[in-house]
Amino acid sequence: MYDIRLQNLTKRYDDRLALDNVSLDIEQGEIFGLLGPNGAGKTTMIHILCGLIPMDRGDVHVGGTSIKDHPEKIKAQIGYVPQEIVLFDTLSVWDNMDYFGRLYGLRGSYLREKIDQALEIAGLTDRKRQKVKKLSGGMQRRLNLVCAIMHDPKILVLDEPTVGVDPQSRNHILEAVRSMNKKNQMTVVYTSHYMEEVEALCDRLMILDLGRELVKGSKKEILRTVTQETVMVVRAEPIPKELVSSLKEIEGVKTLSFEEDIIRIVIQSSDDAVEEIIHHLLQQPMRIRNVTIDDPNLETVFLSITGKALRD
Amino acid sequence: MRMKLRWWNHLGTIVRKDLKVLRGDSPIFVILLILFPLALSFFYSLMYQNIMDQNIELKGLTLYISIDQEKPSSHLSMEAWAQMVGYGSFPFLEVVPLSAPEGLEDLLKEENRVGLVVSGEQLRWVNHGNDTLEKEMVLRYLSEAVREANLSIMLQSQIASLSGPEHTELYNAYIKHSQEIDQTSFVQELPQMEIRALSSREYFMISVFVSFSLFFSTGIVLQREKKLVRRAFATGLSKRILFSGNALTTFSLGFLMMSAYFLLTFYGILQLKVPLFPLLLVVAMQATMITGFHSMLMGLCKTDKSSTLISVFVLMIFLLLGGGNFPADTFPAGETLANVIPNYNVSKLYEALILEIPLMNLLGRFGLVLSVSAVMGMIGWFAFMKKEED
Repeated sequence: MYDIRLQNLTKRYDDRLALDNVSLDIEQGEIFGLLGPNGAGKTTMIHILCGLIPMDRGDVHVGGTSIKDHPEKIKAQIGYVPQEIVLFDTLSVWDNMDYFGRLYGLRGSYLREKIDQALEIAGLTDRKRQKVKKLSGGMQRRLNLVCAIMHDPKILVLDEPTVGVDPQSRNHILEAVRSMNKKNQMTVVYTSHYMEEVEALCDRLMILDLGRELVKGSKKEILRTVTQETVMVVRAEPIPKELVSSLKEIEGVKTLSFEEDIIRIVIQSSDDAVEEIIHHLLQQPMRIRNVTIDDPNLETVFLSITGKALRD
Repeated sequence: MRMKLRWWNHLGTIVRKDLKVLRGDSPIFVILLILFPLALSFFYSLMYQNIMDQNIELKGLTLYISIDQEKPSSHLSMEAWAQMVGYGSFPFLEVVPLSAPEGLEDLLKEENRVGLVVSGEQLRWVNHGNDTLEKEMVLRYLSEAVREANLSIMLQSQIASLSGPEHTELYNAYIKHSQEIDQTSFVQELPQMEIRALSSREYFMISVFVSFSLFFSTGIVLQREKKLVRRAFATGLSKRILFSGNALTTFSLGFLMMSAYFLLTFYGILQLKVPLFPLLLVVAMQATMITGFHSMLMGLCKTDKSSTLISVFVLMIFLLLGGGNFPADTFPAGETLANVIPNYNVSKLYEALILEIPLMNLLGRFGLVLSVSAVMGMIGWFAFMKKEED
């Protein structure tokens, strides 16, 4: 039984196609990841899901209800955590939570109870009277998250919630998401361009690029598409300009990307190809600093399909 | 019923939050919207008093009168000429008769000296220096006197040319009429006119504040820029409620702030006996104007920078065309233009309170402020509804 259904979503901003006929079903209680580089269309998709922007074509159903028919009903079921820290920085932690809680329709002692619970989740109980601008970036991120969960939403939508966050706060956020999902059977939609996060957190995911769906499914299903491939990462300098074209001519090289002093080469599993590439590299007038050969992962998938790294 | 309750709850939430945000910024608001306009109005009123209350000191002027002895005037003696140029009427004027026109040119080389040469029926005004106020006054007086004298001479000549009984009859009538004129007092005692106007201090304490109140804001554009508005929409808050809530907050808090200012200035600093209820009514008009303006900014501006730029631009219009920093009604053309600028009309309403003019006489000004505010509000509403969809 799906909880969220996105059907043929299409959105255009002036001459740029932000989403191109993307469809997706997310089951109840599932943690679903949207992975893609900047400009892939993740945020647009989330904004449409949360009823913040209209779509040009397609529809969104939450629990069987169309957002076109009952946008307010759907919004009430969603907790939206924006990409930026969207808080009143001159107000205290408590006042921010009080404001968002009231907007979600909470009042009185129930609101206070919910604020206390959320403060505990964020680890900010002892800072509730402090102004937001006095908090560290990580604390602000945690507050940004818990302001969206006070009304116990059925669905939690997080748009890159860990951007610019220290490892401790990142783990705190990821743990909080996992715990809410398990405890309340909360459906989670999580976008990121951090492959490791999505791999670690999500049951299923979709990889997007330039508004188009590249691949979707469970991590296993997606990786199965590239099990025959490995990624060789070469760090060297100075990289000769003609090296990229000469590497492409080697049999077994599928795609490669080039970024400053790093070359990423997707190789169809073949020991011969690896040997030939290394031999070819050694002949180049450059200093090789490091060569690694990785097992296939989501980065490999993205690189294999688009020919570019996720963070390009 | 439930929807209505929700509407009120949301409205209350927005007002409550804005109050908290503004409480944090209250020192800035007190400085920018109360202390700064007060200081500026003191400065303007001092400056304006210095410009308008200047004394004009007239410098001494010497008038040399020369009668051409070969062609003397047939009618007037030197004394008569001296009287004609207003000798005695102008305390700054000294009349010096010359026996002959020779040497006059040398005398006129110095500043503040002019000459009058009478040759037959011809008069010549000789001025080698700059035109001055004193010279202009004497010349105008002289021109009028000569015109009057010529008329009188012409009448006398016509009477003299007549003969027989008509002559005697006309002559007697002329003499009688002259005697009547002589006995008539042409100076009428008029009742004292009271000119009711604001003092410079009163004027600027109103006009500067009315203009600067434009900067009163709940910071909604900044909230939009920081995506707080979008996040609020994600909670299910509707655009209508958010817009109305902000308009209501702007009006309520603006009303409180403006009331505080006018209670302080009218009853405290200026010690005026202005009735409270009409004062609050005019304050409400000012708050309506500010609400309309901010609603327009809320709809049109996506960034705080653009909102500030527009506010400064409108402030310039308010100051320069709406009499914010000078009394626009001292220039007829300026007043015509100012009559369509809302801040001028609001200032005029405050002025009416001080001058005890019934507000019922100023319904046109109420109408204009309300109309302009409504137009600005509508622009803001439609722009906001459209923009937030993108």
